[in-house]
Formats: sequence, C-alpha cells, structure tokens
Amino acid sequence: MPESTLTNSLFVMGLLALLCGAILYTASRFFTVEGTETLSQLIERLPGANCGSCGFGGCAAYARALVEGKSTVGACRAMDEVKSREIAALLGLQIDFTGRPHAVVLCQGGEGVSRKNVQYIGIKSCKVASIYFGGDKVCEYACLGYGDCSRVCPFSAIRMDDKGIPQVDLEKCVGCGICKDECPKKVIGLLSRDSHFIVACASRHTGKQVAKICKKGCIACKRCEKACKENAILVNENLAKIDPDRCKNCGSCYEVCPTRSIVKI
Amino acid sequence: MEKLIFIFFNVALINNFVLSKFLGLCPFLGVSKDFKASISMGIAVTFVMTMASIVTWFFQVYLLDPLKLEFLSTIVFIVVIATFVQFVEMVIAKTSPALQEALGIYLPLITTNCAVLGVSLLNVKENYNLVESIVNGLGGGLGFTLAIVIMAGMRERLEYSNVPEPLKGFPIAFILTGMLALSFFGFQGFFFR
Repeated sequence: MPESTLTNSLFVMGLLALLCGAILYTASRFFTVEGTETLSQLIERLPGANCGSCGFGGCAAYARALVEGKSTVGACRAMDEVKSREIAALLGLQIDFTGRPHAVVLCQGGEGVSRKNVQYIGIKSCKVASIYFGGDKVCEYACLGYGDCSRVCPFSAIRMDDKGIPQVDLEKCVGCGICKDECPKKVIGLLSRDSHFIVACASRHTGKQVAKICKKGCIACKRCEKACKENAILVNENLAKIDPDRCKNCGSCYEVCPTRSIVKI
Repeated sequence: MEKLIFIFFNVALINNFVLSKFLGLCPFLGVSKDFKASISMGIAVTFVMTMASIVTWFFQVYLLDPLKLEFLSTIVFIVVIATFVQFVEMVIAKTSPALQEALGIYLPLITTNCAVLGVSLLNVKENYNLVESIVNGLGGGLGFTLAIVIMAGMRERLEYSNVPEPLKGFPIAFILTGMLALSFFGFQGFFFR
C-alpha cells in the first residue's frame, strides 16, 4: 500500500535522525576531552612549522604535551621570546628560556675549492649522490652541494650559494637541527649563538692529502692549537676542534689559520 | 567456507574497490603522498568498512526489510555510517590518545566515503548474511589498503622522477592509478563462478 509506505518511511527516517542526533549528543557530553579550549588556543599560537625540534610529532602533539605538563615552553625553538612568554602566560607557567643554537656548515669545499674526481649526472640530491662511492668529490667528508638541507629546512633559512655550499641565514635559523639529520655527510652542526669561531671542515684526511684536494680544508698544522691562550683547541684525528665552553672568542686561531678553515660567524 | 574465501579475494583483488569499481578515489589520491600516512589511512578504512558492514546489516535486516523500505537503504546507511564513525571518533579521542594520534585525523575524512557506503550497499545487493558481510567489508578494506600502499610507494618514487611539467601532481597520479588498475585487471578470471 503506498500510503503505509509513505508514513512508514517518514516515521523511520524521522526516528532514525532523532536517534542518531541523541547518540551523538550524549557522546559529546560524555566523551569530551578536557582542556580542548586551551589546546586549540595553543595550536593557534604555535609556529605551525611542525619541525619536530621539540621532540614531539608536530605542533599539535607538542601543544598536547604542554597541556599535560610533559614539556616546557622553551622546548620549542621556533618561537621568539615574546611568543614564548605569551604561551607561558596562557598556561600559567614559568618560562624556561634557554639560548638557542643555530646550524653551521662544517665545510667550505665548494666549486673550485674542493676537487671533484668524477662527473655526477644523477638525481640532484645529496642522499642519492652519496650512495655512489660517497659522492663526486675527492674528499669523502665534503659537502656535496645538492641542497638537501636547503630543501628540508622548514624556515627557509638555508640558501645554496654560487659555489654550491649552503649558507645559513642566522636571522631565520631556529636551530631545530632538521638539516643536521638530513645531511648524509654530517657536515652540518649546531653552534651556540655565544660562539663566533668554528673549524669549518670535517675532513679526517691527513694534512698532506687535504692540501692536495681542497683549498680550504684543515691540514692539522696545529697553529691554532698553539695560538690559543685558553687551551680551547685540540687537533685530533687530523682535525682541529674548538671547545665552545673554553673559547673566549678572541679570534687568535682565526688569524693564524693558513687555509682559512677557521671561520668567523 | 569456500564462499567466504571467494568473497574475500573477489572484493580485495578482483573487484578491488579503488581499482576496478573506482570508489573511494578521494582518500586514495589525497593520502597516498606519504607511505606512513597511507598505511594509517588503510587501517582506518578497513576498520570503518568492517564496522559499517556489521551495523548496516542489522539495520537492513531488522529495520528496512520487515517494513519493506529497502529503497531507503542508501539514505539510511549514510546517516547510520556517519553517526557511527563520529561516535567511534569521540570514544577514541577520550579513551586512547595514541590511537587518536594514529587514526583520529583520518576517521572524519571517511565518514561518508563512497567505498564505505558501497560495501554496505553491495552486501544488500548480493544478499549476504552477517558473516559474509563482515568478510566483504574486511576484504574491501584490505584491498583498499593494498592499493593505497602500492600507490604511496610509487608516488614516493615519483618525487625523484623527471615528470613533464603539465603532468606534475594529480595528472600523473591519475595516469599511475590507471596503470595500476590495468595490472589489477589481470586478477580477473581467477575464479570461474
């Protein structure tokens, strides 16, 4: 009968809609997650770069950890001090603001500086290039210059210069360390903003070898070690290393370095 | 038992929802850029498809059939599935933050997904009983997972390939989907029944 079909369908649909509405309503009453309001406010204020330098999977996860008290405000390196204070105020917390480092490239071996022994015509990616005999440069510790770090930086703080060496924009860099993890050659390090001198070379080759293949490599001549009055420099495994805790930024090592492998930042 | 195996392989491989019925293409193309995300999406779809098969079967058999309102099944299923998925999402958000992290963001995406609705409507059309419906839903979900995981693997490789400028992004993804569908076509003829 058409009439009963009509009333039946109206009845069923109406009842179903009411039932579903009621179920969702009660569910939303019983299953609301507490603190969602602060959470959404936090997510709004966080940088949203999802860089993961805080140790959590993205800004939303970090915000949740903040609400639950599992992390501190200072853990996010992408926020400036003003923003951090704002968020701390939102949570009613004291702020733990530690000095943030920045990325630094530990190689100056660009085009015409570090010798190449093969012609690489594959995919323009350091990760791929390093698979084939460690890349196209003679120095196996050298930066390959295909810009993986530049592409992966969420803050566009790394730019490849005309010699194919990444340059870090200190204004933009927040020290999240993503580039450091991405680099297959491990020639990116993190340096405290209090330090101004670093050995921009990662080569463990002997001085003789370095002199042959690179114009700006550390040749382990130990002149910096002798020039340093604070005993902050030690040449180990053919590579000079500056101890940032002892370094007073006097610059005497920078002046005596014959290959200019110590750079001023 | 034989029939269950037949249903499972039929829906998972031969008549794969994505690759031969062209259902659920939205999540298939949207979430196949990243391998890990594609696995999460596949699990979410499998879960929702299986649960939706069960829930809608009860509605069909105990509500629509006795009242002779079979023609309402599409609209009733949409309402029921959407409600059910929302409900499950709320429960997950409250009870298990870890699960919410893994699946939570994908569940709202597939509340009214056509593959999920498709599996429920197919159960009705083929007159499956409860167990057969569950197997159909599970197989459909696993078939979707297989397709999206293969697709994600291909698209990750595509990142390193030299794609012509006008084909970059979705066009090449659609061409790939077509090729993948062609290869799944080879499964037809596995069963002669």
